[in-house]
Amino acid sequence: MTSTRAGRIVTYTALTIGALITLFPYYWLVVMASNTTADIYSSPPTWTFGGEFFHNIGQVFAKIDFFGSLLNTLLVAIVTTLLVLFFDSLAAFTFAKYRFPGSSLLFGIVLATFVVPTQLSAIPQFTTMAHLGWVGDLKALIVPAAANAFGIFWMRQYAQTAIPDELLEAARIDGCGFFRTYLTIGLPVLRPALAFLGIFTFVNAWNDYLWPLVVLIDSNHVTLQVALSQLNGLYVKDYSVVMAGTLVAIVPLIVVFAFGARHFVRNIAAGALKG
Amino acid sequence: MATLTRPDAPVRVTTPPRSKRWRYLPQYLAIAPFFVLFAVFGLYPVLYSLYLALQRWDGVGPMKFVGLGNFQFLVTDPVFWDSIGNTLVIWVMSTIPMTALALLIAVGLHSSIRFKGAFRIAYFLPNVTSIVAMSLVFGSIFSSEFGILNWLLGLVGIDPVQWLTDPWAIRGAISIMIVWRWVGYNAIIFLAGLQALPSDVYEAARVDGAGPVRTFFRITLPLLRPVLLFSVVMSAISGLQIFTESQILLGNRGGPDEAGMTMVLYFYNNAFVNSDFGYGAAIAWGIFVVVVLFAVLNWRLIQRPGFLKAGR
Amino acid sequence: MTLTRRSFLTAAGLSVAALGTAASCTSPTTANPGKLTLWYTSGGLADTVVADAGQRFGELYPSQVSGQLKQRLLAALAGEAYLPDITMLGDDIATYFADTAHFTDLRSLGADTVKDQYLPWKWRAGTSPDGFQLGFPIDVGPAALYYRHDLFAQAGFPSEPDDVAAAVPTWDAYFDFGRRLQEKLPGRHLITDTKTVYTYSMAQEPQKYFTRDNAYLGDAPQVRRAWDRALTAFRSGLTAGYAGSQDPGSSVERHAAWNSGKELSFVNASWIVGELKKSAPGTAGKWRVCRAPGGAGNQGGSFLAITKYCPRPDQAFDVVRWLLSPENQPRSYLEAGLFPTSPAAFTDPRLLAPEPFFGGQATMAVLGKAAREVKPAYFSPWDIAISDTFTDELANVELAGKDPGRAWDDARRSVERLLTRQGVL
Repeated sequence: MTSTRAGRIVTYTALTIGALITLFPYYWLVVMASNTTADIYSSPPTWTFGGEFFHNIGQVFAKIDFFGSLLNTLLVAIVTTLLVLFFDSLAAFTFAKYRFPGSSLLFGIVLATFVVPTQLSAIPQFTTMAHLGWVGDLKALIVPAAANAFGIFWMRQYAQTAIPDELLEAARIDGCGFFRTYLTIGLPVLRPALAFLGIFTFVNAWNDYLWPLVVLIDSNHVTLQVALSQLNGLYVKDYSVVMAGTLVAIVPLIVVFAFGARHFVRNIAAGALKG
Repeated sequence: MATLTRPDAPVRVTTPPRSKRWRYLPQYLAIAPFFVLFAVFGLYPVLYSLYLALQRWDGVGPMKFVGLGNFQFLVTDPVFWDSIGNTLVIWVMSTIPMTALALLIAVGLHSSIRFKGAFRIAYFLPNVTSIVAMSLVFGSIFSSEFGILNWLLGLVGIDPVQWLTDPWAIRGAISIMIVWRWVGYNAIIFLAGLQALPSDVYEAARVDGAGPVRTFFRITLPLLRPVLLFSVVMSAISGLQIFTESQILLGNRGGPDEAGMTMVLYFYNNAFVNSDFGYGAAIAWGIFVVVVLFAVLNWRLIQRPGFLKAGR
Repeated sequence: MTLTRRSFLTAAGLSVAALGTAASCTSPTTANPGKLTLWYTSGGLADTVVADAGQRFGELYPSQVSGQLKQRLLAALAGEAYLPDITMLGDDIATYFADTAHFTDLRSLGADTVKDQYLPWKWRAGTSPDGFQLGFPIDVGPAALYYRHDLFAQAGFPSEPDDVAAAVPTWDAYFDFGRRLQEKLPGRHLITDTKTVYTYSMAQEPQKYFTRDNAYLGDAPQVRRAWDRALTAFRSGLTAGYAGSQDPGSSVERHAAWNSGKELSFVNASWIVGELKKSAPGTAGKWRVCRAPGGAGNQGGSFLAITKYCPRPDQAFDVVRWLLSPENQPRSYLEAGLFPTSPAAFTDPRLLAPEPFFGGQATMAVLGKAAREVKPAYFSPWDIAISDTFTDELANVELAGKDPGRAWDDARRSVERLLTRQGVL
């Protein structure tokens, strides 16, 4: 819309200022992670990067099994995301494009599960996991999260208009079965929606805290967020070390997003959310 | 929520005739994973929390059945009602500026500029960051004595704001954190909506001599309605669950005057701090009712024809 | 993505199979059968002592959890599976008195033979009203007055620990001292906030909110006394009232005040020292410690307990006894700030060494004396919630300008509602 030179300058300036404000907390995070705890709390506070970063990072690596827990988190986040993408897209495709006995009722149930209270599930879910023998196992994080109502709801909205009925009709005439139709017609069209849901799921799995803390009972086999929380001692808290841990834990997410964003924003543009 | 299925009823493809009994088997199998997982892992916790809401339980000793006692208590609990009010206030204080800013960012990113990718990452980054990890950072930003925010306000001649003690400033601070976290997320959704709009309407507008502002309000905004609708309904559902921001800034009790006590924080405080699990469960169901009512209300309101056109 | 119908069906089949195993699997009762699993909060035991115990008792399997240990413990107790053999319990140990069936009575393992080595009041705090010995003392939090020696001296006030202690024997004397001190040192505050005054005034009381039979004391004079003291300090402008997280310890402003010398003194349990040193090393040498106004009091402290699911409770008890032995306690104090529960440790030469941070003062002399003088008190399962309610209302007065009378009424009403709902009243 802004085609004039002046308009473009205004746009750039506004976007840059907005981005700087958004990124400011990260600047502050780096400042904290590269100074000592005392520098953080000096008055006035330190504004510049310090030389303690590698020392702080060293402390992080010494106190917790950073790479082990990083690996666990990666595994959980990747597997969960793949499962969610598959199960949710399949269900969404079905709900969007097929009518079968009970389909509206079942979709209603999906929506209802979206808002029912789950905050108290740690205790009952632990009991379930104990029966399954999954306590302490990464399965306990992955399997319950492998399909979710949000993804089904959201992708169904998308699929309804994004997948033309004529294509499905054509596939039927060609003798395609249901799953072939999903794979050859549904999935490709849903790709942008998948990219969005994928990032969303990945981030949630990455940042999940209370449930992993409860169910991963072996402190030598935990996820990154749980491991990072061990840096907070009961009486002695070394904030600059905590900040350094936080910082290195964000980096992989930035990488994932940098790769994913290009893909998903471009594709989402192809007609996301026509709902 | 059931109304969500109503407005669209596209042509459904009929599946090829087969033996009648097995005709819809593929469809049922396709949706089965969600239901199986929910039955195994989701249903029990939900039923459990219903059961718990009828008990008095500290998490250790035996449970004691109290019937609807917890709910009776809940509806007369002034703190719970305050927490509903706080949550709604914070929701409004955050959603309105967030939606406006996200639209601006989306429009900016939609124009033909370079470094789009970098901007996108910058704006989206907060959404992928664990807010708990950033608590110290925000503590420093909102510090009244030497916080960056008050320093900036001082530059333009505004007196320092007591971000963490004044009830309205507290809600403002929480809202700022919410906007920070979600503005990029919404901007990207809006951007996607913008990019999907047909370009011919813009051509027509330009021919008619409409300026960019006029075009935005007359054409872009109404066309973006479905996207806005999605965004507002989603924020009604997730925004009412807000509590982390409040907790990390103000602790478990919502700060002075309980100004930052949101519904979920009150739940957390009762269930996990006071170990009052029965009452916690009752609060969780109270929140459920509020969220459903609010989502339906939002949906109805925003769906009314001319909702957005009335804006200007 | 090459997805065939078969692979999909396999996936679906697996889900169903998962359902089937639910009935067939029996889960182990303890987290690591054959080992002694120990759950403790990060920093709640000294890591090197735990490591040594691991060397010594090969079967020990320590697992540290962040502050949310209780959530995991409750989940495991409800599921009666994957339980620890030994677990840490916080100062809310009375919560577990209601159902000691999950635990082993330490008396049956011979705890009485070492009982005399520990502070009697602390030992008693780990005993349920019917005599069940649930907790073995890890640490205590004796309160003392921490003050800026340099600033006191600069203002021409008593500044050596004994002199300061003599000048502020009571809270009233302390406030009076503060008023005069603040006149000399404008822009600074005597003490942290109303919460600090209330909390540590209550910490000194032998009788808190409940009797040992869990009878609520209602409008008790000690509560009113603590409340009035907090208000007096506030009205005289002695409290800084730091904004931030409700826990002033994690307030950014307070940490900065330590560095800038705006907080002249504060009363706190011994565990604050680690944080003080970490956040304000620039003030090293300027602090001193003396007896708290109003006398000795305790705030915080934890226990170890042995669950009844532990197959070898005798071995577990050996581990506990060794971890928390008078010989190991000095190390735990030096490493993790865990104040000894065994008076023998108070005279350990390592703990009586002069501390540069406190200008060469040996703080253990003060803190150890305070720990000995703490009066036995019953800390009920509801004490934390009640205390939070009162201090919340004090914060409303201090920071949000609420009328003190209304705040008091509101606090009392909230507590009564809470206790009514929980079936106590």
